[in-house]
Amino acid sequence: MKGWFRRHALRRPSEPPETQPADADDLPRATTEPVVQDDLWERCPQCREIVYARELHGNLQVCPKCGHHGRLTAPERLAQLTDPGTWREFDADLTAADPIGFVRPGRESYAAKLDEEIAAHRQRTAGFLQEVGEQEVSPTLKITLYRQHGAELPPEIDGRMTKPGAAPLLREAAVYGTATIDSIPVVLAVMDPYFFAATMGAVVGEKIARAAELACYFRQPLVVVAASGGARQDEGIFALLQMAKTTAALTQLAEARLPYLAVLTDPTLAGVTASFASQADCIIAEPGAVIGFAGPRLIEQIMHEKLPADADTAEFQRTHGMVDMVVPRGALKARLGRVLRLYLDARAAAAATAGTDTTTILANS
Amino acid sequence: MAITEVKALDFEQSLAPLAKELTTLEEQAAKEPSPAAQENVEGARLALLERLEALYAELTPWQTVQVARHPERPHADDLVSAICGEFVEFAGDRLYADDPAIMGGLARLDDRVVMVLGHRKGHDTRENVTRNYGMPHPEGYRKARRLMLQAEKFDVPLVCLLDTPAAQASLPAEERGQAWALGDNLTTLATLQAPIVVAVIGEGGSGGALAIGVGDRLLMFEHAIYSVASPEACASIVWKDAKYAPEAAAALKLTARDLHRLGVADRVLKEPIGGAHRDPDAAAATLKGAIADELDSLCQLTTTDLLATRYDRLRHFGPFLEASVADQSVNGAVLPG
Repeated sequence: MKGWFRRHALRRPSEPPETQPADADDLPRATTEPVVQDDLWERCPQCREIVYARELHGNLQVCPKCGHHGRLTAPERLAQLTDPGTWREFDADLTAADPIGFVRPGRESYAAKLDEEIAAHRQRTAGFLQEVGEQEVSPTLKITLYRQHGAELPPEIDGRMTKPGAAPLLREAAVYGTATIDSIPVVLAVMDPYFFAATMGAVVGEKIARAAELACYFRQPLVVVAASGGARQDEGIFALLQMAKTTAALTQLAEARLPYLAVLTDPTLAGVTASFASQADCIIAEPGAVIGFAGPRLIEQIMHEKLPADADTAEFQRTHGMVDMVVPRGALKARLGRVLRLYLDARAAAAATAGTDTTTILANS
Repeated sequence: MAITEVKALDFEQSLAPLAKELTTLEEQAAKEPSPAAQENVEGARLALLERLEALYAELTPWQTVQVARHPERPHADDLVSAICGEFVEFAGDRLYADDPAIMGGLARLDDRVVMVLGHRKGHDTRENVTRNYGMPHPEGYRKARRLMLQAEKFDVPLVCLLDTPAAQASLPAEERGQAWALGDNLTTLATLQAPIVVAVIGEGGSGGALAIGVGDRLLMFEHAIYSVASPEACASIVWKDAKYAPEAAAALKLTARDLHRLGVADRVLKEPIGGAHRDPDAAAATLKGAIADELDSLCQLTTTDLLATRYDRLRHFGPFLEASVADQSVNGAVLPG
């Protein structure tokens, strides 16, 4: 059980994570509160109630008292959304180059900072990955990662996938691969809000672009679970250009008339919202998530004005017509399934009317 | 040449004595014209130009930022009037408002009709307030998108002039979907069936610049900058304090020379000695020639080739490492070396 506690202990913001446009850590956190000593307990950052850590975890990090949605690591998110045993990661070996030789404060290199992030993230997720595999903690969290889901794959793609059962090696702020959601085969990309504030550099951009291309290849829908503090400063102009790269790749998916669903989670900001995250056919947001361009904290700094409490929340974006629906975490997987099925049935019907061969999308659904 | 008439930047203070001497000599020559007086003026002018040239050859990244932001630097509207025989401006996004921070319209460039888009900074405080210092709201980007689609519809090339600190960050901008407006433009530009030449003429600030800056060719004025965030914003994010902007400016590799070396800028446009603001007409002429060159070559491509080449260009932005392909091989653009 130790892994669980280690992970929770690490989650406490004893050192503020490196956020990009200022808002990655927008929701109030228990930084000024006395730290709860016992690892068995966590304090909800919203209602300030003390919650039994395992209860919080069994509830997908949603506070059982007030419904506050805490952030999920990518492995936790995959466990939540994918059907058991179906996830297989692609291109897990992509790592960031140091394209502009960025010199950080104290002359620290980007490479050194990345190593720190990788080590910290490995520690953060180790408990989850070990413990869930070994123990029956909660049926929804039974680990489902890194196992093949049966489909025959061409060799050039097979070489890019992790071996079944391979140890997860999160070396960047996004993972992508194949899985089924509610029995529907999809290509899925998930960003991790804990890794380098889920900032987008060339690897994140490349994984999103390849996810779009893979979806075209398999003729499957694309689902992206977005979270990001924005562009990664350390990659300079190349971080900015990922916005152009990802949206360009998505045009191929649109041309193939394959559905693209985005789930915007806390926080989704700046260059990620202003590129692939806003371009989905259907945009789902998690309750209370900070979603927008600049984010409330940065705007308050620049404009020297206090914003309304709901500014740049999921609900605000729903009111202003920027997202289609706000769906609580517990209902997310089922909702994704419903929406995907409608898109796919529409496609199948259209293909049948046209008298052409239906796509292989529905084969396994 | 108005080399002494522009506002001197901080790092140009060492030239003040020379500039003062030139002004004095010019006044004397005006009062008592003589060949000798004229010779003195020319000598002083040459001395000043030489010092200016030497100074500008060695600008630090932070000094380049100052030049790129110089209030008298020719803005998009100045350049369009200088290089286009005719320009008819179109207004409004047909949804909400017209945004004076972005200009767009049909123009004649020699014997071609082109669609021109540009960020529009002001020349004085009043104009800057109206134009929001060149920081567009969503309606500006949506106007731009409307005109991009017209370029495709009427089969004319698109010319985009970038000069913005950033897209507007405010509550109204959020309410009207700033991020969505930017993202829509990126999508539109990726597959727009028209040749697109982009030139960074001053500040290429982040997503606010990119949203009218995805194209087939990227030109940059010698002292223009282009970066993922302004040096001040980058400094607040990484250094946790905006006062480290000069350090951030150096770290970001935001100068035209660096971006050309990194394979991002296709072409660097030489500026007049002492920067474009010291001779806007000469700068405009350079820009016009370069745009015409690029359009000449782009217009020879079929639409299929044009779009395939553009996709390839966008798709390969950004180096990364991929262990399984070859041990620590580098994909994408050229690494600095």
